[in-house]
Amino acid sequence: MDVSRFKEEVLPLKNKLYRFSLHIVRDEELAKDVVQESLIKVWEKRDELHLIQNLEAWCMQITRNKSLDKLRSKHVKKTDLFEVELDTRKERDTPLAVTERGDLMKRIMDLIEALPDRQKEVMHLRDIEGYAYKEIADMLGIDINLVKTNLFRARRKLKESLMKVDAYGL
Amino acid sequence: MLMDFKTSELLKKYWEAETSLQEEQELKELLVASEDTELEEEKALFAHFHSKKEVELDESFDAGLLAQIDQLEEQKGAKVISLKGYFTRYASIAAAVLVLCISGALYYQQQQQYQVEDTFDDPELAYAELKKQLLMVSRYMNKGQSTLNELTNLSKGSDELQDFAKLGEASEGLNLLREMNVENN
Repeated sequence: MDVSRFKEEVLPLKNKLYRFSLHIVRDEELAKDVVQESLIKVWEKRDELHLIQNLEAWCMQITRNKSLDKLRSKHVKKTDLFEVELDTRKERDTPLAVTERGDLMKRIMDLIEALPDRQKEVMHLRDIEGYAYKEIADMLGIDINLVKTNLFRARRKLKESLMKVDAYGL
Repeated sequence: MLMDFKTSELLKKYWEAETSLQEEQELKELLVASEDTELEEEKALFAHFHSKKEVELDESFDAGLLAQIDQLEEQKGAKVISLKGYFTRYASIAAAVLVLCISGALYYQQQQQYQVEDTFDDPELAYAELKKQLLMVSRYMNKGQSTLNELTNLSKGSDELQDFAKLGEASEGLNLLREMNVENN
């Protein structure tokens, strides 16, 4: 793979990777670093790309792993400095979030935020990025049925909380 | 009404996680267009998803990344050359060290073969020790000599044995005497 093919095939994935990373690390600068590092890793492995069946899923996998690594090291650093609470609060209140956030929007964000990590991840890949179940399964390295189950649970939980409908009554 | 029915059907399927990607896209469009106040939560949810998808990296990202890749490639190239340089430089040093070590080892070995260590620093002491050793040697030699002298007695013994041979002659004489005695009978 040369630079022009890299620009054509890999670089256009940057925003998807960025959103996915941002969804995990919740820090724009950190997510940007993750995407940069991930794409450089892809570039370094360009000779092995022919062995990869789904380039996009592979890139997402790399991004996910790097994001989780960053999150771990960030968490360690922050715990050392006792700044966890302060920093997360600051991250959530980005100008974009503030302007967009109505009460309902805030409720939705909080509800999604409260979901288990796996469900949140599957919901992000399906409802925001619009990936097929198979693609999500490849990206997360899990079984396709697990993807469906997680998505079902995430949506059900969201519906229950959002609609304030007692799901047991349905 | 038809649209609302479709929307509600799709929503029902959506909540059960049974919608296809196409249906989800359709639902999203229907909700955007819908003015139904009852669907406020769903509209907000889909609006949230939509807004999340609009988050993008800034323009400078590509340039930064490509520059980093260029830099990486340059470094790689430079590294290869410098590695070669290092290799030849260190290889020659290593070879020189190896030659020195081997020749040193051989020289040392050679020296070891002929080297006789001095045991005494004081010549008088050395002389005394030598004298002592020589005396001891001569004493042992003398002792040996004396035992050898005893062996010479053996030759004396053989002389005496010759005297025994004379006994044989005597026995012959006795035989003659016996014959004479027989004749007398």
